[in-house]
Amino acid sequence: MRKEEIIRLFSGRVRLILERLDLDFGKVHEIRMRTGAPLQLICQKGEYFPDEHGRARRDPAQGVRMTERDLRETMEYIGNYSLYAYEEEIRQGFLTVQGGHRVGIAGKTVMEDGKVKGISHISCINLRISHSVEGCADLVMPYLRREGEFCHTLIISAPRCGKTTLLRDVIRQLSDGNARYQGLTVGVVDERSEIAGSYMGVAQNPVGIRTDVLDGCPKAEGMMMLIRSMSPDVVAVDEIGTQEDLRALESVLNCGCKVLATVHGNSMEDVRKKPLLGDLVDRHVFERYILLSGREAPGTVQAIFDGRGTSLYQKGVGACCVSSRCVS
Amino acid sequence: MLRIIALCIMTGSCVSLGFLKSMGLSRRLSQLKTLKRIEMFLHGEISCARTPLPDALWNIAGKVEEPFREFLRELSEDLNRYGGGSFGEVFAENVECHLKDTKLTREDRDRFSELGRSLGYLDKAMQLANLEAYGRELDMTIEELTKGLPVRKKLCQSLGIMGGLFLAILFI
Repeated sequence: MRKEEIIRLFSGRVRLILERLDLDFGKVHEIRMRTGAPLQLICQKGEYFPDEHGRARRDPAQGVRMTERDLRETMEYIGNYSLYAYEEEIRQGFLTVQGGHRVGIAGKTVMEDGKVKGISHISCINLRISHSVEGCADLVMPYLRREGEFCHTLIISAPRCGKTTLLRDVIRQLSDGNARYQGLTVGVVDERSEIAGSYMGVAQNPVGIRTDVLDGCPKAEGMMMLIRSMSPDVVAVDEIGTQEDLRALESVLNCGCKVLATVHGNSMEDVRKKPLLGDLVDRHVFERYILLSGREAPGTVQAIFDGRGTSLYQKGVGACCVSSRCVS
Repeated sequence: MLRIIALCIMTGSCVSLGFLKSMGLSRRLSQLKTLKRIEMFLHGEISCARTPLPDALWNIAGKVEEPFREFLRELSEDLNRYGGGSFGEVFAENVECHLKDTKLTREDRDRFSELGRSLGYLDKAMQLANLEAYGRELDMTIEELTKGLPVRKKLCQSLGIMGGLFLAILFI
């Protein structure tokens, strides 16, 4: 079903090649098409270039080359014959399809008044296959509560290290609750449809039974909208960074809601150096920091710190502080 | 006696043909009005909710009567199958398959297929402009047909009666 769900998005010719391909689609991360270049599949074990007969090749020269027609037909399917419905997404360079998979596009940008209005002559398509890993947050969950209450949490990670996957599973576990803790109402502002992978407003990824998703909404505006309309216990956002995001985040903090956010960075130092975010860190606004690394495998939890920078968990060492104040 | 019965049947048939033709004219008008409604619904789906075409067509199917309901549903299902071909091609195929037996003329169907060929291309403004252009053409056809309808209906009915009587006299 999963394989079918993915390959049906491609043009007839590519579909035939992918149908014959003897690869586990559960391990495929990306499928890339570029006009004039070979079809490329990026998997856990490296990259493959399928040939005309659907044999996975390592040598790009043996891969089947994509034509303009392949890309045009694929775009028709990805856009559901209705690219006008995804104008805003295309302007940002990506759109989300059924199943929560993200399609990045590149080509000739169309400018109007100095801003990108859209993309024409699409010559590169990158389908990033959504992998929701249920249970990947099991390790961090015990550290995210203090005296039973969820802490303001910031996930720090470099790109492609699994921060959205971890965020999604934390949201799911908070929302569903467990035998010890009751589920919380989680409001998710999913600006780029990456967390819930919503399609036509319906979450495609497991985000929990008490989760309200505001899809495709700018983070700053969305956080305030959620507070006004859905009264969440926790507000979750991905990739905070702009001044507007951080101001809205402060408003959320003042409303008594808990914050769960992610940010790009390699270390605590990186975050401290960020102008406004560094200020929040210095004021000990966040009570937990989860540092991810992709050195061993995507989504590896490198360390967990409390608001004052005390290490609660270190990879290879395990729990550093196990008092009931730190870990309940 | 047999001759009288045959003459009655012949006259009756001619009269019925005339009335059927006149009813066909009314049906065409009503079906053109349905096309206009479809155009308006589609305009709304695109302008208000930016609904993708397959979903918009499915939503509209529930608001119109047969055979347009079946046409829209089948079209939506075909599109969701991603079986190949552009939107225009799938649209035209379904028009030919499901609307051939309606009272719409060849010209009406061609014009409707032409709308399909121009949908799905470029941005929202383009879709709305195409729909509005089609809507204006439909309005003109409906207006022309409505104006001439009573006269044409009467003509068909009269020709049916007259033709029947003429044949009856001819055979007496």
